Amino acid sequence: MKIKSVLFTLLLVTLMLTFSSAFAESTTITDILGREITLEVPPELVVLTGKKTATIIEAPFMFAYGKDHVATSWGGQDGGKFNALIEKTTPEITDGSVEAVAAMQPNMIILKSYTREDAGLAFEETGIPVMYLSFETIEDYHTDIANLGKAFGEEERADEILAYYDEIVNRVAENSAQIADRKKTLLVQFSETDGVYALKVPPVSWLQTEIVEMAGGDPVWKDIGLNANSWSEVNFEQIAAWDPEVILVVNYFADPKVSVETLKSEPGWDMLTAVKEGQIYPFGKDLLSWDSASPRWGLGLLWTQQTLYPELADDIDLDAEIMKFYQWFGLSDEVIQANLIDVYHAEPELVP
Amino acid sequence: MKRLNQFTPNQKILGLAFLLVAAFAVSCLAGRFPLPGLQSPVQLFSSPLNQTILVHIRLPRVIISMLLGMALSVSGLVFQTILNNPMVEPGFLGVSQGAAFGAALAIVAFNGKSSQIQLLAFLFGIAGLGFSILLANRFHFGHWVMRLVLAGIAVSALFSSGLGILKYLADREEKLQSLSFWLLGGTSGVSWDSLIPIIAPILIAFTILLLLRWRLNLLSLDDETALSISVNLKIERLIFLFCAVLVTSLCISICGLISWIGLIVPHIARKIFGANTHFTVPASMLIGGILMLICDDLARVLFPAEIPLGVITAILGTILFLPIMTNKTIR
Repeated sequence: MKIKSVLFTLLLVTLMLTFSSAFAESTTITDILGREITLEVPPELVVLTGKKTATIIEAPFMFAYGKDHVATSWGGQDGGKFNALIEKTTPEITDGSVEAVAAMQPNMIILKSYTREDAGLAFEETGIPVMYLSFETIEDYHTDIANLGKAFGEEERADEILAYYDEIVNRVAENSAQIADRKKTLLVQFSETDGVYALKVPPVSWLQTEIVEMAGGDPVWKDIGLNANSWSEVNFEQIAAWDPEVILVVNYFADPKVSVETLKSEPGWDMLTAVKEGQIYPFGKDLLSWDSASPRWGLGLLWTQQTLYPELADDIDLDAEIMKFYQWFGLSDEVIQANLIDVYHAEPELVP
Repeated sequence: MKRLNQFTPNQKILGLAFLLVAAFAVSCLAGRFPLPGLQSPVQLFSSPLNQTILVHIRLPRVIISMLLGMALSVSGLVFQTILNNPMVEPGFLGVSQGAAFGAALAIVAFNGKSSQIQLLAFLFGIAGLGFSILLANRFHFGHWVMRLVLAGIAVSALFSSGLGILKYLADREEKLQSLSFWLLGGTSGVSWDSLIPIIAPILIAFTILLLLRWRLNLLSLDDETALSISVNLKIERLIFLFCAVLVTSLCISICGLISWIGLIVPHIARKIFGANTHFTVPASMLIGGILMLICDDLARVLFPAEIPLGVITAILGTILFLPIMTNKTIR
């Protein structure tokens, strides 16, 4: 009797192991850097860490899997306010060092693509599969979202997310096709330290330039070969020489509405064509700006076209678009309205 | 160089003064509006926008660039003369590193208020010198200059490590960006509001340095010789060092860290005028002003995007420094 029960237990364990390995499907993914990684899908724990994670930190939470299996740090340009809105069960990472991450024994580590040389190689040495994400261009989005879907075992969801972005791109492209004269547009980042501010334009290869072009604008900074890897500071003289028809002001760390008022009061600005004709605008922002290569770029694209060509884009209902976009993160309508739509519409002094 | 030797030192000083005035005028004409390059004087006043750009954008920058070049250069000369060491610059004795630490502290700990950045940069620049002197007095070996040099190295290292810790603690996105921008240096953020408060103390310090410039010759002598001709070594050294640190810290406090000018300009001045500080003090100020005006013109006009001033001075400094140091006739 004893022997029988031991044999039965062994058989049961063998069957369980067989079935469990059959369910844990192994897959190979080619990440944005062209590296092949093999992992069991879905992995139990994924850690998103390293430097320069602002553009990649949110996309995993557009998948149901992310909320219970992806651990990240919660900082960022908004001090983690948006991240705090997402209901998730994974803990916040406070120590993103290689040893601390390895001690968590994740099944996969996600890092920003261009940090591989500085930080990624050390993470790769741990033997844990490392997937790099870029999210810097629309083309990158197609690769990265698809890879996340594959890694999380949610390929259908990835297709739905990409279809969402494609629909926006197509809608905007249809409107842009009707534009005969593209408006000379300047997108400028305003970064301030108590009254002393710097104005910077993005590299030509970045999403901000792509957004302005797709929306039908003519980026005035496009043909001048600026630094390809970071924002470049420009002075007022250069802006006056460009004399754009529309100026879009981005501020990542404060209210761009206030930045616009500051610029309008500076000497000489009232003589620029864009300011004289009331065509200087704070770039769309709720808790975070919509121009950057974060998942909100779809909102940024819609906002830019509506701002540049309101007559062509009167079918765009931005409030509805905001609601639609944030539902990808599983946020309720009430949370979206109170924390994002109302903040977007808020008067300058009310913006947190 | 032979041709240059045909002129008297006073004529050379006048020539440099003329060049400075010319560089100042050219800098006012140089810009990117309406087209990159030089505008004619008539164009400068051809429209309200032209006038606004001249008065509110270019002029404060041109003035601070000139003062910055003069300050760094004369400070470099004072340090090199007093410390009898041709390889030192205003960054010596913990001044630059102290100022950098003060600015970083303001950015990281006090959320980057510009007034706090300026104040703490200035105070910590002065503190760098103070710590170096205090430490030098505690050492019990070697003569005063050697003790001061050693103390300066120690204090600089201390502030450097403090700066490293602050950079590590800085917020990745925002504060580190401000910190990097400040550490690279530049005059693009200078306005009349930030410039006016520092003009008077800088001009007073310049006046003191110019009036006492001949005494600097005596301070370069060894202690025994200097004392034998009744020089009050400690007080006079402190006066010169204080003036040098004052002008350097004030300029660094609004322009950030700018390298090389303070090191190479005194060498150029000595090459032209010899070691006599009666001439090298004004010469350093004039040459420094001219060089910094050229550097800033290149930084703001060469490309649509601003090039960090520290990068230009480092390139220009290296290009000038190497032939000077490899030239056997250098004094």
